[in-house]
Amino acid sequence: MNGGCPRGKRGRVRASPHATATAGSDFLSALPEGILHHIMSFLNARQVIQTCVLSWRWRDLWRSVPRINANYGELSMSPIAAFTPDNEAAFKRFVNRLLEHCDPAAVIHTFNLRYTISNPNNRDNDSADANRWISHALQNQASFLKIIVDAHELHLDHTVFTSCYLGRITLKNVFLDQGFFQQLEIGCPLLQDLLLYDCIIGDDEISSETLNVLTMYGCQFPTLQESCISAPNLTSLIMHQPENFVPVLDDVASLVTATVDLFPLIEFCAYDMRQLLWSLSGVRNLDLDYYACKMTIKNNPQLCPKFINLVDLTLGQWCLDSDFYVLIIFLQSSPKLEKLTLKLEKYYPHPYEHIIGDELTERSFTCEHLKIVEIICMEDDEPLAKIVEGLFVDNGMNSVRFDIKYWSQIPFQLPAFYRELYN
Amino acid sequence: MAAAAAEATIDGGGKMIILISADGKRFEVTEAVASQSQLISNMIEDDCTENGVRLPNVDGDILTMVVDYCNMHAGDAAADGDTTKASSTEELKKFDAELVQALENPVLFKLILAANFLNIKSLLDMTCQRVADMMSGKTPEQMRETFSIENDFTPEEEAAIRQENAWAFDD
Repeated sequence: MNGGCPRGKRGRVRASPHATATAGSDFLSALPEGILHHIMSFLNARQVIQTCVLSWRWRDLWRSVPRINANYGELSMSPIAAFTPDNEAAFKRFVNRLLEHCDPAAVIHTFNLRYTISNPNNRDNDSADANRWISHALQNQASFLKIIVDAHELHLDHTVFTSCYLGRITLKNVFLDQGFFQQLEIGCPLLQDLLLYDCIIGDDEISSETLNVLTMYGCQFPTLQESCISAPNLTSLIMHQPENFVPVLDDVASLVTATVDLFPLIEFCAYDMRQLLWSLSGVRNLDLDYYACKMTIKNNPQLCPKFINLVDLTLGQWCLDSDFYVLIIFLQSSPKLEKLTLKLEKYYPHPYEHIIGDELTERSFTCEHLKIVEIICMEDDEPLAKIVEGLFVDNGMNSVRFDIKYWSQIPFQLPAFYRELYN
Repeated sequence: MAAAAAEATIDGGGKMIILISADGKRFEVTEAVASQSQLISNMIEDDCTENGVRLPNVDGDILTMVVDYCNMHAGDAAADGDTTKASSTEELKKFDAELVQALENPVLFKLILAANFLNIKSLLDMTCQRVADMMSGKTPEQMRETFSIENDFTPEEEAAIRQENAWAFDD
């Protein structure tokens, strides 16, 4: 059974015959090393190391596990104690030792770090440690990097980002100083996915030839200058509740899927919306919600381009404001639309209308390919949903299927970003 | 059978191929189903599935589970943006959860080896995750008990290793 272990000798001779009966049933240790490493990749770092005492077979396996999951919560039993200075210091010592004792030649394919900086006075020191660990992982050929920071934000040192392996970066609560995006562009030629959650962005220009996926939840953009995004190979963009400023999408010509959600404290006007929509004119799937400041639309500003590829469209309550202004202009501009989803307000009382539009001279539309309209609303909003249904019938679209669902029927699901971060 | 094969072609599933387990059981599946195995997908590309694919280290009962899994997941890669997808994703999750929960010690490990050999990443991930879940939260002693791992250290050796890595054991 322990054939792979040259020094294997039976330490304790067990008297009971039961021991010999079970000796052959250790299927786990009999697995090849690559599979054992794969299994260990799903465990937190501390448990991975503790397998060293299981048997000779396991003694050094932990030193070359290709995925490191280091989580500050793991060292302490209670979640509150995890935030004590002692625990934070212990966690730093732990990660330092872990990286020190790992096989220096082993590839760290994935480095997942969950970190906390509870004292802002320690931010520089705490950040320096994390930056060193990230650098270590990148030098060991990390392809996937995920850094989640609780409490105060981590100051990332962008100079560590030089890697011809790194494909995906996920960051939460991290300050990205000026020069970060430029360094990624120069130093990480294989980087395809960048996922940012609650990050503070120092650069006003995000420019990348390599990125395919850019996800930004609750990120702060610089206030003084207009930010812009130029990523000609981007296929998927999520911009959820950007703060301070909505970056201008300069070049996103390859975009297929876009989700944009604009939040109350954003200054936005019809001109900005027009600029946003025109840069998204090539997308196939679009999910757009707006509940920022009141927006006045007048004198036919050609808000929508022709969405020549748009097949799947999701809009929020705002599209029904001002006599369905936004809904109608979208339908008039989307000749290939197959599926429309309207996600109406989930809570009472519904807020004020966000759109003030002048009267549309042309209210008719034809979406030849439209098959299904799904409306998700509160029970009391069903009459409104029926009016929407009537709008399609009035336009002669009798074959469209209508599905009206209530929010209460939709099973609770953690938001997608949460699953991505904490899974 | 001819009718079924014709139907599969219409579905875009392509030709049928035959998988043969170590104990000689035969399984007829579409190429689309079989090519979830990277190993078989490569064989299809190289045109060497004509006379059936012999899998000398996968038993019939394990291959039955693998084929069920692949049949269930065949739609995964194709048909994106399908409106019925949401419910089928739920079904898949349920199927996977039930499959993996039901697995007992030896079968679970045989399935891992089969998934590894056939190179079916999602099945390998799922089964390895299951083993990790069984290890998670356990002390080394409890792990030994769960998996019948024989402690072949002398007490002195074990104490020395524990001492060497004490930083990962201290509470």
